[in-house]
Amino acid sequence: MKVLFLKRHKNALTYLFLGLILFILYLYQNVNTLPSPLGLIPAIVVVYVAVCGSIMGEYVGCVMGFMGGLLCDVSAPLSYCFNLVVLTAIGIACGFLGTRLFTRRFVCTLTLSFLALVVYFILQWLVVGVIFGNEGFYYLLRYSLPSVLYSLLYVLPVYPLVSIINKRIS
Amino acid sequence: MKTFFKSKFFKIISAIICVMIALTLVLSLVGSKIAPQSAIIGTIISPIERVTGYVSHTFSNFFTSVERAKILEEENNILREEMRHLREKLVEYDQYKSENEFYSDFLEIKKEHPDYQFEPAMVVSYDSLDVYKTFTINRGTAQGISQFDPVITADGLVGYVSEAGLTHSTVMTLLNPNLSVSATDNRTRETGVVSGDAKLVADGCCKMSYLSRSSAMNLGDYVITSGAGGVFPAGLMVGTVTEIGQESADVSLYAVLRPFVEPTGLSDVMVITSFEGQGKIK
Repeated sequence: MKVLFLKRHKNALTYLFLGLILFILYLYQNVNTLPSPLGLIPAIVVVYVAVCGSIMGEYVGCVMGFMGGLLCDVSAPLSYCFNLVVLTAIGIACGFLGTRLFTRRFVCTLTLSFLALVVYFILQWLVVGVIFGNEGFYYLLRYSLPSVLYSLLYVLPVYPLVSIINKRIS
Repeated sequence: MKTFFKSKFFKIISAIICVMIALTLVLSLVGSKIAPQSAIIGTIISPIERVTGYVSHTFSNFFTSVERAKILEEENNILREEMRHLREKLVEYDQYKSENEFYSDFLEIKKEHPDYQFEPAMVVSYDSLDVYKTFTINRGTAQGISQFDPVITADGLVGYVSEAGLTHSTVMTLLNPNLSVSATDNRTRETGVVSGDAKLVADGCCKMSYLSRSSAMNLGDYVITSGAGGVFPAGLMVGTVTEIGQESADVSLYAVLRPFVEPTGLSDVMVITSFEGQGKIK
């Protein structure tokens, strides 16, 4: 009966479990105790969404992006659903590209995470810094782009975690 | 790709996102500064965030304190060094202060007796086995000190130099029976000889002998040096009369004196190396 239940609700359980990890990572990102060299803050949720998408495909990427976006908008200084839209799009895009274009899984995840972070931070700079704020290129060069590299480090622990979950599910 | 975008799943997600954006924009036009979904989710997760924040801060503080231990140790060493310097300065300051007080007291004596030549000295040790409180000072013949030079403080006579070495000297105090000082009562001008007495030394007193039977000395009288004998200059404060009695051996009287200067606990003294009438018998 237990096996039957797991088979029937496989997708729901997968999303629930991944969502739980996402929530933990979100909390971890927002507790302000992460090391912040040179004032840089890592975007772990973005990394997680990109990794989930690139490993598990566009459906998982979309759901994780959606959930991650909802969470990130709670603590965002400007909540015009920016994170909701951008992270959902990132999840879908990584899902498509990761499962179709790339063959080597880790390199693929790393590349897609990098691209996702670049897109995220540039858009964030444009929307929050330029359109609704008063930040120039200095902010982009000093904080946004270095944060891409710093956040990319979090692929190293997140990738094996998602890979293990993916293997267990499949 | 087409399958995904045509799927029910994508349509539902897109619809939800569109509704949320629309709601956010409408509410922002009304004046709300927070999106409705953010408000709802924020309300749900804020207690959890609070708990995780507390836990993570506790852990973070622990690790930070471990990390800071080295920095604190370095800071501690620097502060210790600074404290050592300050302590040294404080000692120097206290030394200067006490020296200043010491010299200012003697300035008055010097004004009254311009003929006195002083040599300041520090008490370096006491002879712990000597009940008469003989002590050593850090000045000797190299500084012009010679045997029998009077040793005083601002309060009065202490004794004299019994032995003078090159860089140190031994001072015999008024409590010692081997020291005799020609003294006079400041009120009655009666003279006598002050010296130590083994019976009185335990009380820190000395004895003034050879007072005439008709002596008018009273308790509380001040005794000063008479200057006779040429060892001590006249007018140095010796002590105050605490008791008067009759000698058992003859008919003369004696007075018990409490010296103005208690020889124990002295740190700085002044040696009079020269004064008018030194070595002359009056």
